[in-house]
Amino acid sequence: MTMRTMLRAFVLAAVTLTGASAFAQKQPANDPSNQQLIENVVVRNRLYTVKNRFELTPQVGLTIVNALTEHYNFNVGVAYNVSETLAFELQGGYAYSRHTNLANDVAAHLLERNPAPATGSPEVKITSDMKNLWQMQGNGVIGVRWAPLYGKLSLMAELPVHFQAYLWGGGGAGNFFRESIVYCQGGVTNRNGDNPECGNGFRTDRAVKWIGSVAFGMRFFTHRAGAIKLEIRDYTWPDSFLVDIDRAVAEQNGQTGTDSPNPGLTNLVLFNLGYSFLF
Amino acid sequence: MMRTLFISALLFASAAVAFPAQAVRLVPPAALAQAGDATSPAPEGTDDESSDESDDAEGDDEEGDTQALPPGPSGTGMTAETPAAPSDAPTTAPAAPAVDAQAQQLVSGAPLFNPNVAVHIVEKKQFSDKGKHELALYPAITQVNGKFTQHFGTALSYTYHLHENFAFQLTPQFNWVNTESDFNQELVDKVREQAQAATSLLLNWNVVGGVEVTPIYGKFAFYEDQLAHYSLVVSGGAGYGSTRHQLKPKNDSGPATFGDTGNRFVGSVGGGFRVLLGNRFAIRLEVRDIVYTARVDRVNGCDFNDLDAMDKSLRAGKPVTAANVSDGCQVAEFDGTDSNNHNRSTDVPLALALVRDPTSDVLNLVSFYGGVSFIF
Repeated sequence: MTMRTMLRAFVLAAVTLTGASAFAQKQPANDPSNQQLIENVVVRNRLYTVKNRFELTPQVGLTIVNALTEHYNFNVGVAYNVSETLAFELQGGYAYSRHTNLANDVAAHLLERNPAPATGSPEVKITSDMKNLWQMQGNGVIGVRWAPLYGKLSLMAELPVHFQAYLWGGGGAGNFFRESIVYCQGGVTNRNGDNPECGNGFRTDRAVKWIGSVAFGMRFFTHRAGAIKLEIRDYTWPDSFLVDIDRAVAEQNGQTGTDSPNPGLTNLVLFNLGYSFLF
Repeated sequence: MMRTLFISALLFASAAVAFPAQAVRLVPPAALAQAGDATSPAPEGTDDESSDESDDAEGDDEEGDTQALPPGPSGTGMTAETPAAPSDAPTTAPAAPAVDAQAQQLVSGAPLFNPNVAVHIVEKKQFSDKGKHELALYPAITQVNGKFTQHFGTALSYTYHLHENFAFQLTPQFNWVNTESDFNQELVDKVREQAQAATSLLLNWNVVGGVEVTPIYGKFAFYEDQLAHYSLVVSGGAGYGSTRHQLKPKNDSGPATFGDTGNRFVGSVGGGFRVLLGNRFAIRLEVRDIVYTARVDRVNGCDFNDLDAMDKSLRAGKPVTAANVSDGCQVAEFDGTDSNNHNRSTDVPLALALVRDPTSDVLNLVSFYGGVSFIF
């Protein structure tokens, strides 16, 4: 929900910003002081042109809101600008990922709850695994970048900075890793102590999944051959997890649980920072 | 700003001295304005645009990017006319050597096509903000950092632009959705865990007063023929807000129930873009962080002792009103049934659990604000 909300917010921002330009000031058609010529010259005068140029972009991405997993995505993008506004880009990389402290705490607290006590009532015997636990690792996407906005700003009143704002959409595939925080195999040691541990570890899964990706970003030209890139990017992939897990059976190394019939999608929203080298 | 203007003036003077024989009519920088009504007085606070343009020209020169120079009229399909000379214009130098006719052509009085003259074009800010009022409506504010909570709201903002780059701002906001997140509910349902009370405190409404500064003013082009002016806005302020905490989650028995956890001071910082649509309207795209301290030790004005007394009263088979509570405790909030036929007394143990071990936290409610403003 959080990731979707963020994605919606940024897409809304991008669309609104793009739409705003439709209402932006149209150049005056007949201006007696001949402003039309100067205005249009300024608009057309892109100091940094990218048409028919390749670019190479190393970048790093950090998750903005971490719930159960956190990612640090290192990747490289290769793009070709077919026009000043349109480019095709291939991105590939590897995400270092892990459980958050919250996920580790939840797993530890659940281990303290005995699903099959010798006396007393069982605690959380039948339950489902958590959503959004798949961790993206190797990933590659290809997509289209549309950069209709070219602007400039004055930084500290002395330094003009030229920038482009863009939307990006595409898809690809990646390999994913998942470690449950519910499905403990092989019993629990030190259940009533301070640091209970899962005997044979939590269930892990690996899979290759498709990825959808959209992004909104800006790049600020530092010179003709380079630009700093700031981007909000969302990776989406199909989620999957087990429901109706009998923790007592799992702790005895048995097979339990069924696939969720409606697992939904996982959204991973990253803030990307990179530098584009233009050739 | 001053330095830029000074350098521009020096360059103009140098050009005039260096090329005295050329038929170049020098005009005051104000006459070279690119945008806005050339006859209107230059408003204050034009520093950003002015330096932007002039520096840009310098940057073009430094890079040797010939594209910085405009193409000829034939390429643009437009004609250039030489305006009437101002009354105070210097006389044109006589007996100029033969130079290319196009190089002598003046555009708005500027020798834009003369390769030997560096022209620094000074652009006025399109619309002045000083002294203006601005009313902004943010119809759908969306929380973007909602791990344990989710907020959706609406805000109205009044801004008075005291100066071109400085304004006072008052923003009342009402969050018409403020509940615990689906993730928090998933934790409760699946692993019997939930966020601490203070961490999942909800903000009902808030009013923030503060200032807004616009340190950066710029423009962008949509494709090649649409031009928009924008400014980067940074805001900060302080105010007051009302909080509540979810007691019973939404389930088959009915909607979620909430307990009032009191009013408290809030702080706010934010930033974003203000895109001008003419001189009357603007689109605002901002991200604001509302910061508030949260310590949950009372629910509906009732502290631990009050709620414990009510809980004991219920366990004894008596109504909550039979409990001996302090003056500020709103017992009625736990008595009877609500409009959904929910027995309010069932909230007592939930509220008691919240305050049994008082928790505190500093919460950041980061939201995206997209709105439209009217300037008058």
